[in-house]
Formats: sequence, C-alpha cells, structure tokens
Amino acid sequence: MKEQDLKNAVENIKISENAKLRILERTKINRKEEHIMKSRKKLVPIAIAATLALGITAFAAVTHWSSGFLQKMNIDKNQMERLQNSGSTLITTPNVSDTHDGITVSTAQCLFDGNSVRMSFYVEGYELDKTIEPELEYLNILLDGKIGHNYEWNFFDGIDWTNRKNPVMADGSPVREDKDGNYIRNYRIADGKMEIDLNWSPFIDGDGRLSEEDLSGKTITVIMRNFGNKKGKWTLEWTFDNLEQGKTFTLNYALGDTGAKVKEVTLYSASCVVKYDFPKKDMETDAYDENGKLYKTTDFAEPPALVGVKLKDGTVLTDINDGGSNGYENGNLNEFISRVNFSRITDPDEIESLLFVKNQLKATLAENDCYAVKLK
Amino acid sequence: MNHLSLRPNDEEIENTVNKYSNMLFRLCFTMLRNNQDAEDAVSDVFVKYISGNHKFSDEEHKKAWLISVATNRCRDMLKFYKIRRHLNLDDVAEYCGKDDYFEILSELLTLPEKYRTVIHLHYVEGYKTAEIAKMLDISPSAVRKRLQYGRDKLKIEYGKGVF
Repeated sequence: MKEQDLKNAVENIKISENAKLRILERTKINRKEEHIMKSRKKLVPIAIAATLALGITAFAAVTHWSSGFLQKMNIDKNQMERLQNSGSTLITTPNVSDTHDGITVSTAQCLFDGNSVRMSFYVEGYELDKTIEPELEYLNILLDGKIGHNYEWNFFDGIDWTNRKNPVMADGSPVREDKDGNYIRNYRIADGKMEIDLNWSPFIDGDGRLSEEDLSGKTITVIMRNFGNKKGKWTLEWTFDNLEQGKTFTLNYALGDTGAKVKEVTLYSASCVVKYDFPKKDMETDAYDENGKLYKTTDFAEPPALVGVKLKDGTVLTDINDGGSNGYENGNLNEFISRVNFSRITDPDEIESLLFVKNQLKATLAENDCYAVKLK
Repeated sequence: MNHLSLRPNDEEIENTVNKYSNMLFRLCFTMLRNNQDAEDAVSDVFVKYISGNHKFSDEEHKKAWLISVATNRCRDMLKFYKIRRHLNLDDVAEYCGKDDYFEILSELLTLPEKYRTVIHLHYVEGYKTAEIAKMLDISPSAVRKRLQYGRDKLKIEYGKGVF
C-alpha cells in the first residue's frame, strides 16, 4: 500500500451537505440555549452521585467486581446476588495471572453467555500518574491456538456512563474538565490497580464474515505485550466450559408491513441471535461524491432491528442493543441474521416480549415506537 | 499575540463548520467506522466549540483543538455509547471511487482504533509524532509504536516520513 493511496482513499470520505447543514443548525441552536444548559449542568451530577454512591457500597459488600465491567453490563445488586447464589457460569473469575518485571496481570471477570464474550483484566505494578493514559502495545487473543478477531479493548478511565448524558466518576463525584473542556480521566480504580475491559465477537472470522462456532471446551489465550517502557509478554490462559445454552423461540411473527418476519430468536443472558425471513433486497440510496454532488448508490435493505425488551414485571428497556453484526450468513440470501449484544444482563426467563424498532430516526424510543413480539 | 474570538458568532460558527467539518468527519469516521456515529461526533465537537471560552492563538491551534476534542469524543462513544461496533462495509463502499480504495479503507478500518487514529493523523492530516502525542495526550514514543504497528499491518510503503 502506498502512502499517497492511503491518503487519497481516506480523503474520499466526505461529509454530506445535508449532514453539514444538520450540524450547523444544531450548533446554532445550542448556542442560543447555552445559558439554560449551564444551569442544568450543575444540578444533575449531584443527584446522580448520591444514587451511585449507594449502588457502589452495595456492590462492594458482595464481591470485588471490576468497575468498568459492572457499568458496561448495567448489573444491579439483585442480579449479582442471583448469579452468585445460582452457581451460574455466565460470569466467571478465572484464577489466572502472570507477572513480569514487577507488573502482574490477572483476569478479573469473564462473561460468556454462549454467544458473546466480555472480559476484564487487572493490571498491578504499572506505575503512572492516574490521569495519564496507560500504554499497552499489543493485546492478542488466541482460541485453541488460532488467532481471534473482532475485539476491542481499552483501559477503564474511571468515568461512569450509566447516565449517558451526564457521566460521573466511578466514586460518584462529578467529572472534571481540563481547560479545553476534555474530561479528566482516572485510570486507577479504588485499590490502585488499572483495569482493561474487552469485548469480543468470537463468531465473526478475520474477513468480517459470520460463521458458526462453538467455544465449549476451547482454550482461550490472552497475550499482552509491553506496558509503556516495561517490555515483556504476559499470558493468561483458561478454558471455556459449562456454557450457558441459549433459549430458542420459533415465532414466525410479521413485523407490520415491512416485509420482514421474525422466524426464530435465541436468547442468551447478555446477547441474542435473531433470524428473519427477509430475502435480500437491493435499494437505491442517496450519496455524495467528492465534489458534494448527489448520486445514487445501491445498498441492501435491513429489517427492523431489535432494540429492546419488555420484562414480565412490566419494565420496558429500549436501550438494550449494544452493537453486534447483521447480514446474510453462509450464502443464504433469504435469511437475515442479526447478532445483538445486550447492554445489560437480562434473564431470558424474565422477558415477556422483544421490541423491534419502527422508526430508527428517533433518539429516545418508547414502547409504542416498536413492534412488540411476544415470546411463547 | 492576536487571539481568535472567545465566543463565536453565527458567522464564525458557519465558517468553522464549513472549513473543518470534512476533516473532522473523516477522522471520526476512521475512529467510529460508520456514517451516523461520525456525524453525531462531529456535531458534538462543534457544540463544545461554541460552549466554552476557548482562546486560539491561530488557525492551526484551533484545528488541533478540534481534533483533540473529536478524538476524545469518539473514544467516549466507542466505550460507553450505544453505537454500532462492527465495521459497516456498506458505509465504506459509499466512499470508494476506485475499487482499490475499498480494499485500502477496509484494511485501515480493520485495525484496532488506537492504531488507525494515529495512522490517520499522521498519513492523512500530516501531523508529526510530537503533535499527535499532544493531541491524544499520550507520549511520543507511544505514537511511534502505534505508527510502527499500523505500518506493519498495512504494509505502507513510505519515503517521506516526517517523524
């Protein structure tokens, strides 16, 4: 690959004129409303801080769960106790660690629900000022010795995004900003360790294609190399076993007049797989060339996405979709498969219906913005 | 030293959006890997721009500030916002005038975020290691390592590196 080709390729990416107009409009509106936003800003974090402080105390009494992991999965105290008492293997704490040159890496938690993997690791002995972002040069995953793909990891930076519009620090205090308005982060958790959080979609291969694979009994190896100037290799290895089996529902439910039918859903505690009867259909969409000129391009249509669930106790959760993958697998162009990671742990037995979005443009969704598909 | 105005008026906002939205969108797209999230991130950057008393010594300073805010915003979105974490190949295809570009963009966007961001800032925006380090609040040696890793992965042939 030539340097100039890379530059040319990226410079082909241009914002559309419509998007630019939307941004301009939003910026100007915010400028006019700024004085209102300022006064709200001061009030909100205090209320959240009080709520969080209670929550964290309750967790601490139970066990030492990693901070970023808890926040990512929106785990509450009742769920945690239920999981601990039931002997569930949904979340495990593999007792593996590796020490080199004064730095110890250990596994904090591993969540594998039979479909998606979330992991967190503790790092001790890597000394840095708490506001400086730690450096880990490489993190690789091997599955039975073969290279894993499609994972993202980061050091937990102390910011709690439970309330996505108004984040606070993990200890409940308000997030402070530097002179440029960027959040000041804290990469050390309460006991002075650092934490690495990782999401992995093990069922997608290196070419971005979906493939079925069972992780049961397979060995996972996580290799980390070089923390800042501390050179070395840290290796953690354990085996997935006693895996949760998904709960499959055959539904054959038509989603309004969209032409999509939900054929089958397999629910796991932290993810799900939705199979639609939705033959591949190309459609024309608008795009802009490098000169801002409108042209037509083809894309394939997608069925309504799973965005939420309604629980048997009446609770409606419309923000449960935490990414995943969509597409046609194994060359079958009649069956659209959506693999969705959940933003929280949800007991499949507690779900009454699944919510599929009718209007994807709305920022905040209510139950009546969705098709509700009852599980039978 | 002449400082650019603290609180931009409508005209300044318009000029800034027109001048930098493409550059920021490219960067945010490289980090977030889909159109909609990139647009949201750019929008958030400009809201930040108008909501503080920012002093910029010149346009380069202002551009560097916008990049720094954009990279922070994207990092936050990647961590905890409800965004599409997978690579949207359809979005990539939308920007490919030549077939070769599809392959190049796909390879770049398959790199882990931290590597593709420094590759972007260095090879596309032309920033030097020290400048990137300042923008991303990491050490110059970390930038060099990330560039090295990214280059190895992408097998970039380069002759006029500016380290």
